[in-house]
Amino acid sequence: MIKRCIAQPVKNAMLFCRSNSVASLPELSEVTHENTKALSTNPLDHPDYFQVHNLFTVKDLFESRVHYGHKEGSLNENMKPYIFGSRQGHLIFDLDITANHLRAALNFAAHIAYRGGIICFFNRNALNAHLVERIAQECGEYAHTRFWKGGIFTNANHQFGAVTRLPDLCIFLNTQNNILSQHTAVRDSAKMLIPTIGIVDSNCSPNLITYPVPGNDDTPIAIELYCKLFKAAIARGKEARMKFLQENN
Amino acid sequence: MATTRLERIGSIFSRTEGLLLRGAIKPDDRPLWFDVYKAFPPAVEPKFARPKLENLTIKPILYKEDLIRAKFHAKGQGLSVNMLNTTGETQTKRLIQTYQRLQSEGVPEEELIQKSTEAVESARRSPADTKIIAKNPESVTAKVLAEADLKNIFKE
Repeated sequence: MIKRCIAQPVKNAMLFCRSNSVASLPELSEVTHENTKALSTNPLDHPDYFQVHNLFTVKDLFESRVHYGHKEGSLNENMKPYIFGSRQGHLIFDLDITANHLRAALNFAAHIAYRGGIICFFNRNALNAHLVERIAQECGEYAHTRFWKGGIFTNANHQFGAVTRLPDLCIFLNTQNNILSQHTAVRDSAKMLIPTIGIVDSNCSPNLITYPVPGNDDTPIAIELYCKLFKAAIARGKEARMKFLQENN
Repeated sequence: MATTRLERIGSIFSRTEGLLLRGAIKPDDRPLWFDVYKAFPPAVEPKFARPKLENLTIKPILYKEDLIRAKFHAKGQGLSVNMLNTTGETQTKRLIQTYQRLQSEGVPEEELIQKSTEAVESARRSPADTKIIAKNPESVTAKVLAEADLKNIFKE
């Protein structure tokens, strides 16, 4: 599905020039007319402009089994601060910490959608691949759930034969290729200055992920919840964008 | 973009900020996410290199009723959980509740396990309890489960 965002190079190149300049966004307009209205309409001044905090509760996370981690032996050292404890050798996430991280991630995703950014969902778990692709399509965004050919980000212009617009945000619903290796797109996004949101399980490394969300990344019901939440956040961002464009045209 | 691809140095924000400060990219060409990140930075800066967290320990999660739970499990009771059925309580929880109730009623210690097992078993006999309440009654799985007679599944 990523081909959809890359196959129209000429159109995208123009889109790139237009969207990359943020001069038309409300943040700069506040400088020109210094009134309280312009200040209050800048979404970045508001701690939670898109009201993403009311999308879910900690109980929803618990019921979707977000708190289940892997076994103690496979723990990644950097995931220690997010772990509540170990129940009979199985790690349990602290859902209060997870909720804070997830809200920060949802807020970021909504802001990127508001600014007209391209969002790409990633997932390498075959069990959840179809669900993720469907949700991405429903959001009007993109998904990559198959084998990652090296260089899609780092060598894009050569691989696709034209100037290519890369996504503005990558959302990883799991950050591993398999139990052993990290998804190459995590590293490549960091290389190409693309921010990332990632669901990191207790055996994954959160280091290169910009907004890591500690939680279970295997259970379909948990993935379903994340997909639902990101879809809602993106929809709110896009809705606000449409409203803003209508008011200012 | 004229950026370094050494992702292990700094974070995406610090690298972009460096380019902006030194004039390698114009303020108008800054990435779309830059202002959002600046307004809502993540709790921990996403650097590759981080200090080791050696003094953090993983604490075991234990409950007082684990002592009772262990007694039941040793007898092979309350070991299985039906994760399809999210309504109601698990069998272990029912066993523990009955155990505590009987204990407060003054039933002697050695009879507690057997008596509470029997009490829970007899309560389970009623068909309303074994019935699985589907979350989505329209789904194929729910329809098949509704028709299936699980008790007599091996009878002709």
